[in-house]
Amino acid sequence: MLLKRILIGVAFILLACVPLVFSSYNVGLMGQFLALALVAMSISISWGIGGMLSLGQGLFFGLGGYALAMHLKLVATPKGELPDFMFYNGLEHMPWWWEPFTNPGFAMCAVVILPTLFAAFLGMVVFKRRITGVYVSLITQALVLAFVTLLNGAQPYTSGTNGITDYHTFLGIDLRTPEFRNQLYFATLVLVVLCYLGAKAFLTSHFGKVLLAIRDNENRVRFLGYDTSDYKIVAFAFSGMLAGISGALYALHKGTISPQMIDTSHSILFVVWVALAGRQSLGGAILGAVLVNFLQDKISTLFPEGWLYVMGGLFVLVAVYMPKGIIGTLEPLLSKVFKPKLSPRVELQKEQA
Amino acid sequence: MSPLLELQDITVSFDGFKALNSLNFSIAAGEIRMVIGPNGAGKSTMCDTIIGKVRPQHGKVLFEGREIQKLSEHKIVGLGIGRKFQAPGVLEALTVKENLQIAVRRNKQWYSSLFGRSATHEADDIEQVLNQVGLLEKMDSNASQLSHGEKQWLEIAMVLVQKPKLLLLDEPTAGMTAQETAQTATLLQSLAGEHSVLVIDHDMSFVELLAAPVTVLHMGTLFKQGSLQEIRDDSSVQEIYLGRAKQEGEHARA
Repeated sequence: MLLKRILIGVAFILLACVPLVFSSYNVGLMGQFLALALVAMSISISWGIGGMLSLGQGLFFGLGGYALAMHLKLVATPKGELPDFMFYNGLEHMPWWWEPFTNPGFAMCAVVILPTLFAAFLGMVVFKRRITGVYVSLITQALVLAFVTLLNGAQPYTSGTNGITDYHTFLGIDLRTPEFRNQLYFATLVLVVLCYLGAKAFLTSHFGKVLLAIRDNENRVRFLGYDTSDYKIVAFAFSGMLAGISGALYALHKGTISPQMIDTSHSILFVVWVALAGRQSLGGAILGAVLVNFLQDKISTLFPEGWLYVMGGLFVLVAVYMPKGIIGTLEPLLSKVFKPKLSPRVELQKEQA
Repeated sequence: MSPLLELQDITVSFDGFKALNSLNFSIAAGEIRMVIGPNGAGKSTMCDTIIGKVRPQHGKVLFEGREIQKLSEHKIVGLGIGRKFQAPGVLEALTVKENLQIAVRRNKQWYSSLFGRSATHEADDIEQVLNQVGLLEKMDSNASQLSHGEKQWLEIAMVLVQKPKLLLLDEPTAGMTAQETAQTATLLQSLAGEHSVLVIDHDMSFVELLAAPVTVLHMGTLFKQGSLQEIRDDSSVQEIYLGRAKQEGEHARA
């Protein structure tokens, strides 16, 4: 356990050193990956710990991303005018539900609250009816598909397939300067660390133990007197919240948010990162997201066509030989290697024998 | 004295098959009761109905005079009924102690689990119950590493630590050695008076050790009720067991 903490601490310190070593371009990329690490973490919570595999995490990711992008777009639009895509699509007035996003505070609250509420609502519908397993995955996937279709279809209000683009300032700061890139990177890292600590506290509480128990034997927990669906709803909502924050950060880093970034195939990609690294570990989820995206960037510059094959091959290898993911497989090995040195009692027993 | 638990005219059917057929049953506070019966007699379904896992099509379940057959499972448990299932259902990803921490918790609402602290008496209760079932030394082992008999005890401990007024134990000694079975009988006898205990078991040696009044179920209804001696000497009880055995024998030959 101690070793694990040290490793995680070192990993975060290394991440903090990134802007000192990497070029501004790469810092921007790493920032994006860190933003995506949050959505991976959210899947690790709902799936790895809670046993609820969401294939539609892009829905919550998108809600958060769009909520912030709407604000950014309004800031980028001259006063009294309509955002460009509304104008092109023939709207004459701003839709009423766009108005409040002029306020940055409102938008940032919406980033957190919208996905949380939506996930809680969805959880209530699904888990109170005791829908479990693959049906949860199917429902979430269908919902993200519906959401993407809605975004594409309601072009005058959402800018359709283009997504929301062309915004350059946040809270009065120009997003394109290298200094801001570094600041944004650090802000993202701090948020990731905070979310990591929050999630850790969430999972090590009594609540976390009950959630783990529900994953393994829901009936037993129910007949110990717990309303298990409440626990699943709360965990799912928490997961949705992290995904929403992730989406907002990503929109900020990327400078655009569009339906392609949240559709079913992307939602499944999120899950693949987590499965690769080890779904039961929060640190693993962060590592998975950063590493896979880093590899993707490097490999697809070298062989533009090759990345999907590499990714698919990796996934098959891990699924066959390391069902618990890379971290999930390495962790017990590591603790085996280090335990005898850390525990004097074992040494003593060995000497006596 | 009114009984602690009363089943009135309970009927449960699965796709037309009546697992319980107008069953009437009651158990007094502080009583230990054995429930036996051939396979398919409805023993487990009776427990399932009491705890809310199965809903009766007809009839009432009264606990301390209150109708509970429509309450959700966790509320029924909250009233003071604990259930041990037939297959050991310990939480394998957790340690023995954590299993009991989950069971002992008084306030089982999610917000209390997330923001609240455990009550101070909970740790003492856990230690006490671990002592009772002899698992104190294995407190920090993973539940998955326990032997089958130990898992059974852990699950009994999980029910006990909730201090329920009524314990439903479905085959608590399945897979236990003779010695473990004897220890279990002693443990259950020590509970009488304070708790009511309803035990389902097939193991006749265990039934004898427990020496409690026996209820015989057959075809989903109450067939006979009496002391162990009375039941043993009853020719009709022998018949339903033997008749069953005869049928199964013929089945096997066919």
